[in-house]
Amino acid sequence: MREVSVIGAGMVKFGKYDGKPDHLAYKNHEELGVEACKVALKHAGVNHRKIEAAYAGQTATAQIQLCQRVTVTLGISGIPMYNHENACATSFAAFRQAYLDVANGVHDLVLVFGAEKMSMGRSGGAIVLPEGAMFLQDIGLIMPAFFALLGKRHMEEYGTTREQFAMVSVKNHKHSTMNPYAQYQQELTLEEVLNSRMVCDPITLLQCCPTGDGAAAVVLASAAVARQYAAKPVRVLGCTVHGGEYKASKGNFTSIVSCVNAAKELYEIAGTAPEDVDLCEQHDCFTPHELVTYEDLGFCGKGEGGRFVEEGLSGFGGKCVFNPSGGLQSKGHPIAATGVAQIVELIWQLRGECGARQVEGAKVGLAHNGGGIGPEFEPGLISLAMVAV
Amino acid sequence: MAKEGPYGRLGLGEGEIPLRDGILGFPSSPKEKPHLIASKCKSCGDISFPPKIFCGKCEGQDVEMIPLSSKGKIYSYTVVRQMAIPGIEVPYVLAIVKVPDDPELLIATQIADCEPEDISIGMEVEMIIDKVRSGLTSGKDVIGYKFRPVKKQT
Repeated sequence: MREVSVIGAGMVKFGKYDGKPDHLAYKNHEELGVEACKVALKHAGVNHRKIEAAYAGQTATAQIQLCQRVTVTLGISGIPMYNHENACATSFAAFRQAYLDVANGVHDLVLVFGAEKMSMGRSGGAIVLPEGAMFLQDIGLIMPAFFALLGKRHMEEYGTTREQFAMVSVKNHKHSTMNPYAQYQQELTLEEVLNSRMVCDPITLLQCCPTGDGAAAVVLASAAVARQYAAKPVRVLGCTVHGGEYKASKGNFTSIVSCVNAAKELYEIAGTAPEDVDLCEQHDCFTPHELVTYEDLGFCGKGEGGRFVEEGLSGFGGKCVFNPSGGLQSKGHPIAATGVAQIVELIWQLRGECGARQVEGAKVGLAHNGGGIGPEFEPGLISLAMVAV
Repeated sequence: MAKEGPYGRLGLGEGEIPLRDGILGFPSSPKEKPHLIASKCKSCGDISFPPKIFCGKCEGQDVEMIPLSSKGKIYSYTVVRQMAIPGIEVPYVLAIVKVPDDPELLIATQIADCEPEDISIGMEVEMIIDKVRSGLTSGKDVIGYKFRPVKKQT
């Protein structure tokens, strides 16, 4: 496989583009997607006519062929176009396909984006399937409940505390105050997080990611082409996606086993270890997920996730900065935009363009994106990517 | 509505559909207890619920359907307090239950007849057949399983 680089990255501020009072001016999927793609193309210094293929991440909110609806406005046409769906890992799946196509010599210069608009949906934008579609949803096992069951058992086995889960939210909200692209940019105290409304014990409202709208885009290039555009291309050291594993959905529920396995594979492909990673954009949809992921990705031992966050090892000045962008908790989680938005933050960080939230001397970044529920107690998809300068 | 025994419904009533076909063992008389139907691998003995047509452990294709014990223990739990799925009223208690048939098996379930503050890990529970949600797409009530705390003999 050939070396692949990300040469441009862009996004729109996440938020609610529904035109309501105190919200952002109304924008549809197309407008959000176009804006993010324009920023990414400009960041890359690439003329849109040079793009050889385009890959979109879209969920059901966008109905059909978002890739075509966005690229038509950019003046991109007559090239291969793909639309990907994979729940919360939607645009990450599009990114991986684009990465594989460049790595395998199919294309040299491609555009990937994800655009989402949840603000107009019912249930606050949550995606609910009709009954009969998914067993666990049919009995009421919604996403926060999945991570609540994981967190509760983690408390039982390892003595993890409610406060430690809440610290994930406090940390990520603090990071978000330095990110103008974040949906929420205010600091929260531990008391505010713990005393907010209980959603699924031990997860309170301020430990849940918000719903929202947004878009993010990146431009990928083969090594030879990347050198024509970027002084400092960010290399993709590896990108892997794992569907949830049947075998892993038994025994214990204190880890995401498919994540443990995907991480082993990624470290091997990328030739890196957790000690090499300076920052990680992690899928902190609900706080127990980030805490358990410290362990699953090998940043600390099994059961030590609570201590890891409490001792500040996942914040600035720690072992690895988790979610310098503010993460899903506060940057927001417009489902189809999230995966690529994680890559965007990594690229900006590794190019040293993040201002107040810059992770000093960042050389290696990791993105971790989960999507949906798979076989019983496993996610539908775990996606990881390692990038480096 | 269908007839009820001490462990819930004895069958499906008018306008009711099962949570899934082939997972509920209805009691044949009010004196009997209901059970869940799981798949068991004929090669390695691994048990799956909901039942699968293959073995999740050794990937063998030869499985048989077996009844699961109707008693188990709470492995983990949460209380859902915010409506996210139309057709299920909040608050409701969700849990993972372990049964003695296979200590590895994790069963996701709603917990019935239990105040949110009364539930705890390790609590003994027993299975019943009950309505798990109102079906909004089908317009029919969905009948499935729940577990409830085992009442102490007085």
